[in-house]
Amino acid sequence: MSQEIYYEDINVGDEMPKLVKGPLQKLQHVMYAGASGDFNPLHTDDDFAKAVGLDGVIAHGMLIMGFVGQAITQWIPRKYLKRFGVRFAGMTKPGNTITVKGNVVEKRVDGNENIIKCEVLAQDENGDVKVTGHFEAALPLKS
Amino acid sequence: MAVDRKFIGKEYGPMTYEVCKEKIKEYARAIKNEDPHYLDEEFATRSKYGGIIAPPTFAVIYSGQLAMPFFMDPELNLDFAMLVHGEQEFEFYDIVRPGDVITTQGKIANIENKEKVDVISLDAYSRNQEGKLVCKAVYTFVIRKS
Repeated sequence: MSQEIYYEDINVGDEMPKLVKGPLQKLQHVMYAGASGDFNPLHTDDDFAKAVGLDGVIAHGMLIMGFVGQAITQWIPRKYLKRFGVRFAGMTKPGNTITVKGNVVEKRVDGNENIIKCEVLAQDENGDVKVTGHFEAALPLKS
Repeated sequence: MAVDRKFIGKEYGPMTYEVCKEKIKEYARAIKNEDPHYLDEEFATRSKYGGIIAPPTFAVIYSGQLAMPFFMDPELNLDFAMLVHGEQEFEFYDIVRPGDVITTQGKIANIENKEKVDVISLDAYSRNQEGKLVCKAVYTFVIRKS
């Protein structure tokens, strides 16, 4: 859980604490479908997924973005998060274990806000990239 | 069939969503995120937020409602079987809490016709019951051409 964090304590190159999620189960796809209202059968129905040429169901991209969001807010308090974006780079399948990592790429003062920018990445156990992205947070100063 | 660029600027919504703490908990449990800011009322009440808050990606629940009329728009006639979620962006302006009534309005921001795919992006602006912008979301979908 995120503790107070200050702009002065963060340096370009610092790593975000890693988050490991999974292994994913089909049941979690069903839970996510219900919670999110995204009932695209590609995520829950193997017969449907096979009919469109996959070897079975794939996870919702937004579930993986949710994992990345969890990794961010376990490090940076929610109220400091200003921007968060991802590109969905690969399909996640049941059995995959997802590791989210990130690092600080920029610090800048923008008006009266002290912004850190980080790049984030979610990969499976084979190193295959599922999501790449970035976020910006406006952090408080110590002084 | 390429998606016609004349639909750039087409509007969807407004659609309204009332945030409730049970939905926030259901969402956090589906992610398997055990952060007590989302799940534990006693902890959350003692936190700097003074109560349960929505996780950042909960924005897809209130603002993503716009996806339905967009996907189902007979004029656009999207090939849903060929469509994938390509990118997702959020800009956050305020914390969302249980009891907030969020109204989202959106428009097609861009349509690019590329050789093998069309790329279409939808901007969605979500405001709370006080009219304050809480989140701008950009949904980008990639549609393979059959």
